[in-house]
Amino acid sequence: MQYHAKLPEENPNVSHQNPIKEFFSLLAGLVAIVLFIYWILGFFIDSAVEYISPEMEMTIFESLGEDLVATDNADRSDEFKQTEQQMRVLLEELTQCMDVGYPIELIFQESQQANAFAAPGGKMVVLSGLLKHVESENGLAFVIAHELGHFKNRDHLRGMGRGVVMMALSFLATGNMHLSKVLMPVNAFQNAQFSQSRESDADESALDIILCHYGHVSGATEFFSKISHPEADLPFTHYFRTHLQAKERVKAIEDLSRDKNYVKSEVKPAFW
Amino acid sequence: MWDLYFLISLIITGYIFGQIHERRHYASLKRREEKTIAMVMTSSKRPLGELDPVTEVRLVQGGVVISVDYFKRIVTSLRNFFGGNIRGYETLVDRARREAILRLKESCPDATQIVNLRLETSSIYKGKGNQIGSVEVLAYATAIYT
Repeated sequence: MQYHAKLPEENPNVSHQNPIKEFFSLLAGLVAIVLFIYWILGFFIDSAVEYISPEMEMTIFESLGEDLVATDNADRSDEFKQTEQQMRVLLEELTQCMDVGYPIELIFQESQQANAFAAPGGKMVVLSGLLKHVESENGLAFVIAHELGHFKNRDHLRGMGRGVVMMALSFLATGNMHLSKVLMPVNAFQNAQFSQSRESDADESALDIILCHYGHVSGATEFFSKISHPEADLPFTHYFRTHLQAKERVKAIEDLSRDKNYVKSEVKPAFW
Repeated sequence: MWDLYFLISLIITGYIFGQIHERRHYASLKRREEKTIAMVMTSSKRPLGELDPVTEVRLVQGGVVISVDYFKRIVTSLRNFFGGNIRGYETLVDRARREAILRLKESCPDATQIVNLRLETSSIYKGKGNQIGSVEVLAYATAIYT
């Protein structure tokens, strides 16, 4: 017997497949599955939300607000407290135009950010940066009314439910924290698609509320026209925006009030 | 958003450097394998033919540790979901095995025969979620000198 060493012509121990192609086909498969499950579960969430009565919601999320209220209450200025008080009065007046089924508590927080959001348990959080972007009471009223619209449509519960489902799904699907980030844009994109229709609905409710309260809809687009200018964000983030691009939103609100023949008139001056 | 940019750049960096490394390593393996092909090496317990007189018998070994790049780690995690060949790890262990054998051969260039070749594999650093960070391959054998 003779020993004869020879190198194999081709490496039989390695599969021949383009790694980039492999990566993208695997990713696409995973994304498709996750989207499908997310979409199905979205229906379940929407129907579950119908069964959560406002009372039940209050009971479940009672403790949530305590953390929000407890922050920096001590070192607030009198001016700040006064603004908060006036805002609560405004909220009270606006709720008379739309019954959301339970009392809404307004939480005014010091922040650079211009935002407001509806939190579960009837907590409406308004960040103080918002006041820099609205010039009249009507402008602020629209933002508050918009959040009231979210409460009325139970969007805060839907949104939260979807968030939880997405987080759980991306975790289950990928099995680790690193990889669940790969699915992050999918989450944001889905969320944005879902939210855009919810935002338009809330805008519509808000228009009705401020029409009921002031008798006209002036000032409704104040906030969005103001923030539509300095939006120099990263290139592809606008696909993932939860809120419609501000300009589009101003246009949508104006179109809507024109279609409904809502009148415009003098706005009330700001109280802050 | 920054999390995502960070992740994407990690994947791209992992891919570019991983590929450069792999290509260079395969080129080096091929060159060195051709150079050492004349050495008689088997996995049998006994030497081939009659070796007389044997002057020295020695245990020789070659070991290597190779790490997996970030791109491969991500592709593999995705693979875990669907099943199938994990190409990324196939090249990883293939390179490690061949490198270990080459280092073993290079440690005894004057041996007449290398017999009883064995390979051991282990994974080093099982990070979070039992992920394999790098692979170690140890080749050991008996070198016979005449």
